[in-house]
Amino acid sequence: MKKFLQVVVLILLLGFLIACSNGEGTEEPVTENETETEGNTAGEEEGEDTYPVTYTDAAGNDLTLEEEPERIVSLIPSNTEIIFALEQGEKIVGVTDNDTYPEEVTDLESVGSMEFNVELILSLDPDVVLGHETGVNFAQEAFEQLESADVNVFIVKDTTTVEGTYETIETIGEIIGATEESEQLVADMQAEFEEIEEMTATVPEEDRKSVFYEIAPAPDIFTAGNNTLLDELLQFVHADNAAGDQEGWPGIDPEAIIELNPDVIITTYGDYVDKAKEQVLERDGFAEVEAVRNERVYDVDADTTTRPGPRLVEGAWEIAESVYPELFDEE
Amino acid sequence: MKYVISLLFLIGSMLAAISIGSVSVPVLDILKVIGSEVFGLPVAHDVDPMYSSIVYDIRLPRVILAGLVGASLAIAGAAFQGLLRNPLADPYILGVSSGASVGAVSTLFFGISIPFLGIFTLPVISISTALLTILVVLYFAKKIDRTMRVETIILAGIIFSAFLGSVISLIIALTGDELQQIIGWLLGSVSMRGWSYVGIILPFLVIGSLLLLMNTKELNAMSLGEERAQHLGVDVGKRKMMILIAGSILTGAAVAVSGTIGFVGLVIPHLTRKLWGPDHIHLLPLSMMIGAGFLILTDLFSRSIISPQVLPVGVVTALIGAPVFGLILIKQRKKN
Repeated sequence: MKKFLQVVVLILLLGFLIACSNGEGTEEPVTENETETEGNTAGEEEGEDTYPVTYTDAAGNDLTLEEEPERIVSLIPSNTEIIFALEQGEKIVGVTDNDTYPEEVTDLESVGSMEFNVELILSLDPDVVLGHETGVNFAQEAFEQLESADVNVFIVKDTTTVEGTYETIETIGEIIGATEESEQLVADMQAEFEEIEEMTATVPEEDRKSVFYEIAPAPDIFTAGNNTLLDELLQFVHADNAAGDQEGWPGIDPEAIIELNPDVIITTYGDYVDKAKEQVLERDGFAEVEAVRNERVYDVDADTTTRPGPRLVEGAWEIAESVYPELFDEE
Repeated sequence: MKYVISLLFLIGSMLAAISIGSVSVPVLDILKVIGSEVFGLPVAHDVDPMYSSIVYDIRLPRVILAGLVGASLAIAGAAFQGLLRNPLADPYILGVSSGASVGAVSTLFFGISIPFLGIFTLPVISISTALLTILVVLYFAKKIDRTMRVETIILAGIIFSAFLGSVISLIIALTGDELQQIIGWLLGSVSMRGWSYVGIILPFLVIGSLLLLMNTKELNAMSLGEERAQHLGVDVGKRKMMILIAGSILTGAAVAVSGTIGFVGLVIPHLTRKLWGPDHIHLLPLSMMIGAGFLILTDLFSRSIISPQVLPVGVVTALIGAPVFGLILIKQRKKN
């Protein structure tokens, strides 16, 4: 039993850990095939929604929609948030347990979490099911079942960049018949990100901060390294990721954090761990770390900072304010 | 001689483990820090405060905890293997670890935090459920079979392990945010526990191992068979109970502070027996030292092999331990 449990647990660790390490949001990268072909293959005019259209998704499958979908099942919170931001929320008929935003989603039917109930999805009679590349690894068979039941499935490509998030928003916009809205949304986001970049660009080089993310609490601390949205957000706010030489979501030796000696520590687990900030400040051996000595420890919302969706802007503002509060005092 | 070798192995692994890490600290600096921080000696403290906090607050408690856990599991395993006359017996065979795990996993799952206990909620609950499990298992075994034969005890242990194991699986299936914490705990780790955890396990280790060391002669007798032991004048029923409870206390405390670290309790006693013979008078203390040194070294390996990343030590124990044990088996075979 124990052996078996350990094996199960190990498999779970290698898989789920990465995807679920940010609380509810499970849209983080498992694969890193950045260059995967995706996007529409059908020629259509800018800003116009014309059907039928054919798209190739991240799994390489073609999706042909005869008309604008009226019933959508969203299998990942970031998709849901995008659809709501495009003001098409009323078309969603099914979401997952992981969905938390906007508030209306809690009233919607849930079809499961990373693994979902195929029968339930079929019973909702969706025009399109919007999955996500990271979810495919966990529910390969379920996706195949959906396909063989002639359900329109579109696997949204995984992304670890803001630019990729824009693409995702535009792709989803085109599929659900909200091309114009999606272009507007992306333009708004771009404007805000520019504002954040300009604002933090005023920080003199000698005041540039190094930031360490903690996405899982002690004793087993995990961080966000290169090729993550959290890392990308730091680049936008002109700060350095102390663990930037690591890839993805590594578990990290506490000693190494002390040696990295970050100026700021940002935790993302405050929603399920009591006193996230205090437990970092009081951690044994951390007294000499700059961030702890100067009480520069903050907790940010895990969903806005890790879901590749419209609220990424909010996450970026939150991180900017945590790293450079002086910029916000002056206003 | 065998004690000298074991002790050197233990001390050597401790020094190596304190000195090597993400930051390498020279042995002289380690001694300075230990001298001033632990013994309050007026040592000229020219060591960088960053080093001294790494050595004193992080590495030293970690190494000591790994040693205590390794010692607990190894001696408990050695005693169980002797008592149950079963080479496959390990400290987890009675379901104690599953009991401790259910306590710990529920604590994480429900986010339980008992006032005044704070971060000690988990080990305290975990030890309590471990102790409760032993009592229930032994009571159950006695219900089935008043003489409590070895087979009955093992069977009772398996039943409870299976049941509690599925409770853990159930919690894992239901969990969301805490999944990673739970998995991290189940895989076993001695990271970031600090001195307080050393304080938690130490009394259990002292009591448990003293109880076992008092019963080494009886273990020798009982490994010949319970009837023979009875003829040799051993109060089998009483001694058996004592050994079972002592071993379970050790296991429960070890699991409570570090999670389920496999392999150490199963193989270290075998290894020690292969090297220095089956006499429990020597086997038990030697297993403790070898177990402690082994876990310290595997923990060192787990945090330095892909530094600054860490591997769960529970994974590494078998990863390194199994081939090493295999080599020793083959070497022994050739000698004979």
